[in-house]
Amino acid sequence: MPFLASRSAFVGTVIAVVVAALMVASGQKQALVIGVITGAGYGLVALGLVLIYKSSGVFNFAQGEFGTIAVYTLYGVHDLAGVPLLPAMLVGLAASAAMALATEQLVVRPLFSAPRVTLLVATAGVSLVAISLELWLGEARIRFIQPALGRLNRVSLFGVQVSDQRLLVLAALLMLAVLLGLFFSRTNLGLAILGVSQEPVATELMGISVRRLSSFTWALTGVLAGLAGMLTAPVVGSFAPGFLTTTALIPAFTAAVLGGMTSLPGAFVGGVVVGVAQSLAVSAPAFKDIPGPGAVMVFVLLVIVLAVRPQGLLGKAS
Amino acid sequence: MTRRSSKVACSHLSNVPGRTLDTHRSGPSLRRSARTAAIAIALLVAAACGQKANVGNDTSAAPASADQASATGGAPAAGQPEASGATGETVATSGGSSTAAPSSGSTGAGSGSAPAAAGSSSTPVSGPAAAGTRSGGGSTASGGSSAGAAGSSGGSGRTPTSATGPSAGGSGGGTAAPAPLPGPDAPGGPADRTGVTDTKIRIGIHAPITGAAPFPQNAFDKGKDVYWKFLAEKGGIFGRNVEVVFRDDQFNPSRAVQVCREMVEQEKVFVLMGAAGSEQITACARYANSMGVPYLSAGVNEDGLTGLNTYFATSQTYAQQHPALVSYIANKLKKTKLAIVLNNTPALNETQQSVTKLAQQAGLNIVRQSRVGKNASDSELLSEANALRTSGAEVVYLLTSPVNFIKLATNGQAQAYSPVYMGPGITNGLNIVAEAGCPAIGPAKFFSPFPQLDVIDNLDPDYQKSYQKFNGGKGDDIGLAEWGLSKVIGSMLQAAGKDLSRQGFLGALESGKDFTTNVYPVVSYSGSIRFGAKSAHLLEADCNTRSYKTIAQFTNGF
Repeated sequence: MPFLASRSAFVGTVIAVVVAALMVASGQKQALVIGVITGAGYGLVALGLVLIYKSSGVFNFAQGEFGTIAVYTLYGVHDLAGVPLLPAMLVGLAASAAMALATEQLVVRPLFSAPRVTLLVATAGVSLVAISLELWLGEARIRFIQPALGRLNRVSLFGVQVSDQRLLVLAALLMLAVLLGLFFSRTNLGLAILGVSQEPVATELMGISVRRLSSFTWALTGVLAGLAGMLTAPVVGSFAPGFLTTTALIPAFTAAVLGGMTSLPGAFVGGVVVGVAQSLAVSAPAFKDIPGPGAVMVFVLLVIVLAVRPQGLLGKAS
Repeated sequence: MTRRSSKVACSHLSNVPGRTLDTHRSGPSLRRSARTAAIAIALLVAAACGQKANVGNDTSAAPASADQASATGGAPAAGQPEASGATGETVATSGGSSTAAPSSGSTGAGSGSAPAAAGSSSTPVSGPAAAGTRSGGGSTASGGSSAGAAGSSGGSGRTPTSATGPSAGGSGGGTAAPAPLPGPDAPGGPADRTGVTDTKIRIGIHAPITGAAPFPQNAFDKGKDVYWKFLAEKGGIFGRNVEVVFRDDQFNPSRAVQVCREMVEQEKVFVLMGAAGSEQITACARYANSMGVPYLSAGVNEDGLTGLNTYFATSQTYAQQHPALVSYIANKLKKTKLAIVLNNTPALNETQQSVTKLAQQAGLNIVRQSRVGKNASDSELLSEANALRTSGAEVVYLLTSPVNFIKLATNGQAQAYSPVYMGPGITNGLNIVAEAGCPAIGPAKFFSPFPQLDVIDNLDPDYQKSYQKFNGGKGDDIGLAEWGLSKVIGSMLQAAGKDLSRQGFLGALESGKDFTTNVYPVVSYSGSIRFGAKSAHLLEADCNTRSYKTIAQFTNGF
């Protein structure tokens, strides 16, 4: 019944508009802007989580590290070796895609028939190994990275300046959400990937190579994570081992669950909602006595969604 | 989801055009997935927060009572002094510098201390000029800077129990503590010589090599032994050389207690030292007190450290730096709108009260007070920068980790907001902060126990020579911090005499002697004064050179 889905979207949109209006009316309009621009980063990571879950039913805890590897590669190639930014970014994307492919080949594929929880733990293991490698090769120190786009004052909303780098993150998130949504709904390859996730044997019998599709999906996820890392690290200004895992994975999971876990536009919406909720918690006087209000808000949001609407705002069963 | 709604969901899904492949997913399976996600996230969070959850247990690792200490095998401490020198003797280790030690300004309450000229001191091991000229009370300290003696120089004898910060105009005299907590004292017990042999003294240092600032990993390692190697060439401390055990506390109090426990129980160090980090120092100091181990650190908060038998601050606490800081804002910067931003830890409650009270007394308008998480998110720091901007604060008093400072300043710059950042502390004045934070941090100003490299050759020419000699390169400011701290400890070990024991060491510290290094401020303690530094250096970021320079040496007011 498409009506249900559209009604959910409608209700979600109405709620979002009402919340936004309330924030503006109550003097929290700056928190709204800050939430949207910081939430875009979460949405970008959430896109990769949704893509993997949508195609293989795996909760990929290594997603953050695919992105962190890309940031380290970018830093090494661009900042240390002096390679121009764009080629360096391509190298970074190649590194994250390679790591994702290696994860698929060495960890996911041998365990694919195991319960999903086993795969979840396996990807968490990949994440820990990656963090150890980063500590070993990159030292346990914080490094600083400059944004590709340095202009700070092109756009100002409600008195909050939105830098070009943040606009880039927002634009990339929006564009990728739409493109991937179209990819999965309009192309044979996208539908084939969904088919593999639902019925691998039947899809194989249809002449579709499950292995190739799986590799393609994981590589694509690696590229998405790489983009997320390389675009958001300069916004934050610094990175360290485990950067994307520690700063964005939990909010991104919340965003993905909020958006419906299988909905790519939902990841975008979820990211923004999580960002706004976090920003509101940080800036609203009502929360000032709560330690770490941003993190608390993320978990409150997660619990509410799982309890009230486990399929998320825009979720459909795959 | 009920069975009926599951059916509805399934039928809905099967009717989506182009989605015929999806019909095998049912509502319950989605719910299972959601549950799995929730469990997974909870597990990850539990793992991530495990360390933080232990923070509150620090005191459990550090039994407060004597009974608890003895139950854990704690060594007795703080027994009767067996100080080698007469009370009031000045001990200096100025490394042979002929430069006169700067005055500490007005003396602390009752301390009567005037730092000795460098080279006139009694330490036979710390440099040619310093050798053998015992001053014999030339710089007498009464050792009686108790709470009752406070007030002669403007509140320098503040009793920590007041929790209101030092009075305006306090000039940095020793801060009196109330009667020490019932610790593991065992006067008359056997001398505790743990970590001391005929040829060696083993000391332990913990510092936040990771977690707080973008420190180069090997900077601490390279600097930690330089002073001791220099000293060894002069004969050591009564023939003993010092061996340093160094541990990274990861800017985490739980980890700090763990590494301090390792250093005490496994490495058998004689004395523990904390380089930086309020929570870590507080946690380790409490543990050390429970074990009867002398513990020295750069001055941080006073909450949680007051009354510990074995604790001594080698530089001014945050609260002791506030009079100079506030007077600089009012008299030098001539700014009036002040915002106060601190790390969100209870250890800084008293510090916040102190600066607030002094700022109000000085007529400053506090336009915002806030706390930021120790590992604040991008969203939190952007919100904070924006709130600071809208508050109109001209000066931001900052007491956070360097990472948070740099990120906050960067977010402030992105909002076209560039106040003067200023604060007490230790690590925010390191060159690595200017290197990473410029131009966003602007002409940030921070007090510091040690000067910067621009003046060290005048104050103590031995540092660069020794660093060059033992490490083969120019010394950095992290090495300088370690050099200064080592020099303070060296002078204290010297004062404890040849027959070194923990009881004797604590007795020497409590004797009221002035310990002068020409790097760290002059410091003296008594039985009730554990925060005994009298001045600090003021550093300013120079974004042209991406480094800090020293704009005031051994100062206590403007």
